[in-house]
Amino acid sequence: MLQTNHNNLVINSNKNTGKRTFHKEVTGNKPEFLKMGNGTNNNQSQNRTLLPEAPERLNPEEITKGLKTRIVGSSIITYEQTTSTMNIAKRIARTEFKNGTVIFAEEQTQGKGRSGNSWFCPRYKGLLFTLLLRHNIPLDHLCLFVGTIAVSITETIRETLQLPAEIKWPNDILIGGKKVGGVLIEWEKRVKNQSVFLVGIGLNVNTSEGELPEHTHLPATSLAIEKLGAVDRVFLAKALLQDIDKWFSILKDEHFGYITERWKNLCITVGETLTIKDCDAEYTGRVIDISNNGGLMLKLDNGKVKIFRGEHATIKS
Amino acid sequence: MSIIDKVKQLISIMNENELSEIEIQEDVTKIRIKKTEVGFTHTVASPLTASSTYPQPLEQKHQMPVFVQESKNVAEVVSPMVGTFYRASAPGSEPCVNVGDFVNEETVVCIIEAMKIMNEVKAEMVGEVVDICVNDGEAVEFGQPLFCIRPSTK
Repeated sequence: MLQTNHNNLVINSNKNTGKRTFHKEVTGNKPEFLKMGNGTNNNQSQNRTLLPEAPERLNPEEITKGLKTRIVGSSIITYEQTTSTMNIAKRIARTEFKNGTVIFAEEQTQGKGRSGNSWFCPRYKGLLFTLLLRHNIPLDHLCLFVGTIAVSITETIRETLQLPAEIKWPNDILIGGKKVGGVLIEWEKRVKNQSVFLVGIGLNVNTSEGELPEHTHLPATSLAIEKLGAVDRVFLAKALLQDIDKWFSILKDEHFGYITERWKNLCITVGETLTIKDCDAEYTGRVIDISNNGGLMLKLDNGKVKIFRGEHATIKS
Repeated sequence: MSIIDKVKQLISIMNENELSEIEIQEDVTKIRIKKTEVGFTHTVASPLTASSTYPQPLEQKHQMPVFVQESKNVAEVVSPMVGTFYRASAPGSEPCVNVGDFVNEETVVCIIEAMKIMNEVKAEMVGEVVDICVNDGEAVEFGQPLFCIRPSTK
């Protein structure tokens, strides 16, 4: 699958100097609203020769170059700063966008997380993006969408960086019990029954120890901290888009068992003893499996096995 | 407990609760029992000896609760998926809509979340919110009414 050259992964960290806003779409028609933005299109490689000290920025051309995908990354847009790539994706979703469009932001001022958590990552240090996918997934397998993406992120970190990434059911990506990333999905039901999924992903890549958010629900870390060296974000972005493309085609082909199997293997939650809130009741037991539509199977203290639908169950922290 | 005992127990549960179908799963065992006609298990339990002992067909029951509208002038916004109902787009924010608010097709009335998949539910009609059928944070089923809207003519 991925052509990994590990020597390429560690790069020298550069100072953040340039302040120019930058966004660019590589292919396809430019959505109308983009023209109104305050960004200017420029050529990043040219920019680099002019500014040798410029930080390693995400450049649509570099990400697209040699990208081996069928859908994911068909069009790539990067923003220097935005409120949330989800907000941009919502506007794009209403246009005739190219399936697989990806919107990256170098910095988000209102990065989203559910339950009041905000996702903070300093500029140029993370991979923050939203991927737009058209897909009419059967409703009872909707929950597998999160698993598909979580599996892709975890697998990419493992295969390209050899770091022991794991999934905390359903959507957190951890290394050594610390959170390095996560996924949130918004489902836009469109007219003519065409569904659009906005897949939001946040990954701490080159964030240093001092830049990590404090007082988070889970302790945080970054790939660079775990790898003991800066990570090439463009290379990682490519690898991640390619892996999501692979798993998305598995989801599209409805090989659901293959997804749950991989999810289960990468999920630290399986085997843990925990308390689940399901509607108003609480159940404590050991997680023995992930069900075929993404729910959790719990062996309760009284020996009975109970399956919790992913849609209603939440892990009590 | 042997499989046969389990099946017997399930049949008695079905009879007690007038169920037409039941399915359970324990570890690797999955049992599914479906009655093809009403009163099937009764027939087995009491062989036909005289016409008077033949069990009466069970009264027809609705399997799904039926939501009856008090007025024909009220339309429902129903849940597009199984999940948790949130009245606000973010925790701590104001609810998307309140009773008495006027909405249009594009108005987001609530969020349904299922395993980190968020769905903004739109009113898809023009009118006034007359009732909110579900409490914030409650679990909802596919097709469950969430809001009652009195449509207004454009």
